[in-house]
Amino acid sequence: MSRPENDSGTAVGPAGGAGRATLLEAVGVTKRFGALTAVDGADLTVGRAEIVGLVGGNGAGKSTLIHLISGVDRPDGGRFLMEGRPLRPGSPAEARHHGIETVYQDLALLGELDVTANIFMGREWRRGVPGLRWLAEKSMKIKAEELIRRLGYDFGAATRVRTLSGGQRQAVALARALLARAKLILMDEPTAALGVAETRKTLDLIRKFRNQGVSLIVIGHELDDIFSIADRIVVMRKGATVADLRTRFTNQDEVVNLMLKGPLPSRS
Amino acid sequence: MDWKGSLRVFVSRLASRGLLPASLKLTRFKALLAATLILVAVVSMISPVFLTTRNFLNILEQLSINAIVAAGMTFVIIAAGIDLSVGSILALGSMGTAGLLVSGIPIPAAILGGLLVGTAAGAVNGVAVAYGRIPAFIMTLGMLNVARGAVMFLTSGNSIVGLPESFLFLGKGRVGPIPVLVLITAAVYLIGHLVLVKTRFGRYTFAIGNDPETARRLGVRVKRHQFLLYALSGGLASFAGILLAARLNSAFTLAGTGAELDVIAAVVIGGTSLYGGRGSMPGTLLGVIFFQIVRNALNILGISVFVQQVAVGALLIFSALADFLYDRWGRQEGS
Repeated sequence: MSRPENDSGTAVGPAGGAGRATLLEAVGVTKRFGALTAVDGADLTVGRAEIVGLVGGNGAGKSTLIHLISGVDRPDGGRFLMEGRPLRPGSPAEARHHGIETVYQDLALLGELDVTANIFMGREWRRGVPGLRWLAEKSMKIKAEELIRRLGYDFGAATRVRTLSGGQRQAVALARALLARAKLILMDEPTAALGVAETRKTLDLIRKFRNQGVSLIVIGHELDDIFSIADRIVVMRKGATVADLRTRFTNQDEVVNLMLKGPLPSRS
Repeated sequence: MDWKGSLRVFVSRLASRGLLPASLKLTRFKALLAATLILVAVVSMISPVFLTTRNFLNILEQLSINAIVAAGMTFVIIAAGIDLSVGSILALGSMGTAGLLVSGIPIPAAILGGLLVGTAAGAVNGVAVAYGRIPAFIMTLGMLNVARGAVMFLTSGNSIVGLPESFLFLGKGRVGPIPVLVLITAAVYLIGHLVLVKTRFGRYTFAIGNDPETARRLGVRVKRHQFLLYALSGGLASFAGILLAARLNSAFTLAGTGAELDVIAAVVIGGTSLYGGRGSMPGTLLGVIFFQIVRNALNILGISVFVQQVAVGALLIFSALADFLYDRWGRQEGS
């Protein structure tokens, strides 16, 4: 298998230029599922307040790479640095602790539980003394409703998530990132299940996060959407990161070409 | 669109505008409550002895043992698990405490010993299910035999009788007119309810039952939690066994045989979903009460215990069917 970091050429220098400080750095990340190498020595850098679009064909390893960063899957090789500090791989709790929040493709919602419980899952607010603590339900509900309003939505925090629309569900997932004051948000196909209006709303929200200093890695199939939000576009093919392009200096034809064929020899 | 669907939409619109109290919506709890009240009404018309304070305290006392087992089972089933070994663990706890008592160990230590044995058996279930990935159904079915066999072997099939008088207070005593057993059961349900709805432990129990993988991604320690739930179920089952020994002034090897069926039936008819993520302690308590009234009524009417067995089995199947239909209906409502 080819190690893409070695065939230098297409890969524009990491951190995407623009003089941004580096937030996350992933080097030589590899993940195998049995005989299949899903991610093969991938490199990825994210600057502060930067939106990185992660694109690639089906099975290119985009989602797996996201899962490795979020700690849901444990990598077989490579390392992650978050703000210069090494990130213990394979632990969702550790990733969250470092300010990495993931909005999964399925949004990771618990349909039988209400909005508040979903937003606060894994980081509930509690009162009481050690050994005898109970949930601070009222404060959590008030906070949940505030977060939802800040995301431009309006629905009750006591609603069962099962009964929400696609956009509302996404707001619940995004509210978690807001609650955690995430530094980096990973989004896997955020617009895949949305209609036109909700897609626009979501893209606006992504820009809003960036403008408030949050970095995002966004996986997408819709190149139009990715081009409209991303500062940089990283192309994956067969598990490797084959190109790292500034959105301003590329176009959809080039990206599609890279997705299908890998780096163009002419550019080296 | 069928008229039922339209009616449901209409009612829910009224409710969402505050024109109807939300409590008018039909829940499984209310359906069961209605069924229980109808049952009480019918049987009291047939038999004058049924609707007496004495008979009611009797019913409550009789259901206490199963109710305590059902409290632990509710947690396990809400987390989409199952514990078939509770009847045998009940006997284990019963025999453990009784054995310690007759060998002269002080009462509190003997009770603690029985609880430890039961909790340990539950913990073995928990390790195997959570970390060993053995299906709960198989693991606890195995434990059902292992624990029962161990009780038989260690006692050579003999009962232990003649327990200390002050220990028997737990099972036979009364505070005023109210049996101690009933007070203990009430305390277990009060605490269980608070834990389920007011604590993080309870919330994670629902989350795991709803979707364990999602709960894990959000930072819930799913395996540890499942382990704790089976240990809790074992602990409560042995506690019920200890109380049974105090009530009968003896521990016998067949104690709790078949209790898993009664208990699971009560939990499921009480509205706890076998698909996980849904359920309540008041629902389970009402389910236990319902089944005890059915048994009591059949007794009063002089109907054979074999028919009772048929009735409980049939009601379990019926409530599982209701659970399935409710689950499907609930999902349609959500989309």
